[in-house]
Amino acid sequence: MKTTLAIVLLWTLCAGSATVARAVCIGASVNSFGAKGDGHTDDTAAIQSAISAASSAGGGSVVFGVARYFITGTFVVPTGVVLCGVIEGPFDVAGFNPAVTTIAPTLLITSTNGPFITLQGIGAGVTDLLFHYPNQVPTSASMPTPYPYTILVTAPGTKVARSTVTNAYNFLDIEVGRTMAQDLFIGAFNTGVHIDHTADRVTLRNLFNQVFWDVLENVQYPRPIDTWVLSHGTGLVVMRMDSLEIHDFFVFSRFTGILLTDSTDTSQAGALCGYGAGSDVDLDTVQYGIVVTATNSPGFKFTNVDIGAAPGLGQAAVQVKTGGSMTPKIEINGTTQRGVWALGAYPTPPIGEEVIVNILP
Amino acid sequence: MRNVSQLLFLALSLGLLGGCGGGGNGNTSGGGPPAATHFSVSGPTSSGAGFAFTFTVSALDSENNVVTGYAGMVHFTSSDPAAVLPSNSTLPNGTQTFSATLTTAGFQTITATDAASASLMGSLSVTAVAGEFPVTSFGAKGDGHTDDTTAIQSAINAASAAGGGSVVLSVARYFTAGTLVVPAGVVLCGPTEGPFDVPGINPASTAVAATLLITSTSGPFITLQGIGAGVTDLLFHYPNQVATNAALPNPYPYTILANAPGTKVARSTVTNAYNFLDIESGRVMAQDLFIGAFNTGINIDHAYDHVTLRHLVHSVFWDIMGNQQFPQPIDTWVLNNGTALVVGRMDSLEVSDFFVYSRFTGILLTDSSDTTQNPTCGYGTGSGIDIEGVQYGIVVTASNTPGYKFTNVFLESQADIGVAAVQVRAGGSLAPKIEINGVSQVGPTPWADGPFPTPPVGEEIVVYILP
Repeated sequence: MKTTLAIVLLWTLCAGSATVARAVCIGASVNSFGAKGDGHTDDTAAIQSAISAASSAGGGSVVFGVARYFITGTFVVPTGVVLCGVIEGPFDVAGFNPAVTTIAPTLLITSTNGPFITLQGIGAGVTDLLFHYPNQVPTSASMPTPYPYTILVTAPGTKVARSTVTNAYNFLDIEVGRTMAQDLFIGAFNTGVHIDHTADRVTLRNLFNQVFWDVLENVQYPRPIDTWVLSHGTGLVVMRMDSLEIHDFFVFSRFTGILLTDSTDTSQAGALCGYGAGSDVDLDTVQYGIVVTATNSPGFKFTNVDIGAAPGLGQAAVQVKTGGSMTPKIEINGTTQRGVWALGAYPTPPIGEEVIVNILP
Repeated sequence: MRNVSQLLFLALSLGLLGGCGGGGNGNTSGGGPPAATHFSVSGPTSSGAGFAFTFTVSALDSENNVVTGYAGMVHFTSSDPAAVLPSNSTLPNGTQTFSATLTTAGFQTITATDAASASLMGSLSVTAVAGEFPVTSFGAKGDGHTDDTTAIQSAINAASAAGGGSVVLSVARYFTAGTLVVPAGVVLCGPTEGPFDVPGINPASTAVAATLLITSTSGPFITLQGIGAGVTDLLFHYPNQVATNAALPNPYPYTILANAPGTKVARSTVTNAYNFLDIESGRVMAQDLFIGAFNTGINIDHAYDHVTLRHLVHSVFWDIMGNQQFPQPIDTWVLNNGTALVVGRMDSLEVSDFFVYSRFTGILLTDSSDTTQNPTCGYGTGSGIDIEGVQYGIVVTASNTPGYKFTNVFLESQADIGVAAVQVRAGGSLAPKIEINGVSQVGPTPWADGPFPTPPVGEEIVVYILP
């Protein structure tokens, strides 16, 4: 007989709860901890307080509003804490300078001491944010100002997703396995993504290395700084790595698209190099498309690869080099190349090393 | 049959007896009504900071029954010192709905306390989220028939005026008579993760997700006009579209037009559309979509940079909604007219996990009709492509250097009408070139032109056909 009352109660409950509960990025806003987001006040301490509070609570989202958070320091993100923006990324910057115009949850980075964000605890992450270096040189400069990596990953289960970086020197350094990086717009002059010390799988999906510095200034490519990038920049560097998975990987205007090589840390136990698989790889306007100097067994396998030479600068679409710790081995099933390569598109690999390339006409 | 008031009376009588047996305390004595021991405060778990939401307070006894005779005064407080709270109020019949606004983002509480007895209380925990603009706060009804176009556009404009933000729809049916324009930095989103399926469910009458009911025939329903604009976790439905027993669908403009780089369409479903998504810019992402569009699923043109399509499912969602057996009469039209993906001018397409069921053509790679562009066609790569129940799987009439490369492709003909799994045609602006690494094809009946008809002289097709 209490059923009717229960129905009445349920009805009132439902009437009051027809509302909002978005699944992602729900938590304490950094503004609650005093962050201004005005583009000039240093929000380092306020954001660190928000991260510490989320960590003390056992984990949680640290929420960034659509604002420009100016930061002089660096952050360490512990276990279970995700830094996230309130609108879905990644974000484009066509005709917008993120240093002066707010178009997304934006972190303005100025520190030159160590990585800007260290994902140090398991499950830590970064999603839906726009990172920008307001003190970086303009595109009229002949070379960029060096900065440490924007993000350093040192714990498994970490993720970097749906984010954009503009005017970085080096963007993402993955130093542990079971890490995911996906849906990223990467404007990094020197190194887009670097992988080493990973004794487990890493997934890279839909990464877009572009000349976002030209885009945000709304200037015609190429600019003086692009000449430097065409002689120095690399989309992806892979060193010690057990099972790389890479899909939808796009590079425009870099010295090298993908470099598969030995780690410089020779103290690592076991192999110094890596192996893995990939598909839908588009390396456009480069001196070198893919360079391999060493691989662990069974090597790297890629499918659907398109490589285009930088006009007047192309060296090789796929090059296998000697001198590594282990015999380099790469197998490509389906590749096309465009432009003129000084060494030939697929220079003959050194004797005793293997390359299987199904070159499509 | 007893009516509700009789049942209520009976229930209240029984509740009264129970209260008496328990002895009562507080404001009851002798044969009086049961005592309220606490308040239930129910409402949303999150709200947009700065936007009003409703919540309900009920006076309950120790057994959680509503105390309809509660005669006290309720006072409201909040952990948010800047909260806008209701003034002191009674609870007619023990229950009342109120409105409040939290303005400080973060974890907050709203507490209801009896003005005379501090121990008689209850509270609600709400996370106030900055940058979220609930359409309900702008007057959207979501009742399935009131026109919510103006209210939703107002929420979009408010988000834009704030520099950007998420415009959040609730799980409800928003009827719209007009169209929407989404400027830079604004994302229209639902509160539950999509995409959404519709087996046996008509979105016009049942809300299973944040649903936009589209009736406008003037221009695209949503134009993603500013950089970074987006649509996520929504269900789009055309309630005035014909039923599946009709011979042909009503034409509508595209559901979504993407006009700016950095725009995204993600985790959403469309049912009964004529044309779904028109991508007219590079650096656009479309992913995790269930697409029920009779004529064109996705069209790409004027894209001078990379476009990513990932995990798109084109199926006969119109049959599924009614729990009807495929094929229905309208499926005959779709099998003679529908195309899942049309690619015109496009610099570097990336398509993966692409599924098509029951269309005229799976993928058409061809020249743009806008001949002012140079070139007018595209190139790109793809993998994990499954195209079933079609007359043509993949058709190529023109491609820019270096052409299209696809891997892991499966093509199946529709019985009796399959024409070709992959067909390369002459006559385009540039020689068509397609390279397929690993393909299989089947058909209940053979393809009329053969699965891979010989391409015209001077044009290239390389297909590694798996046995």
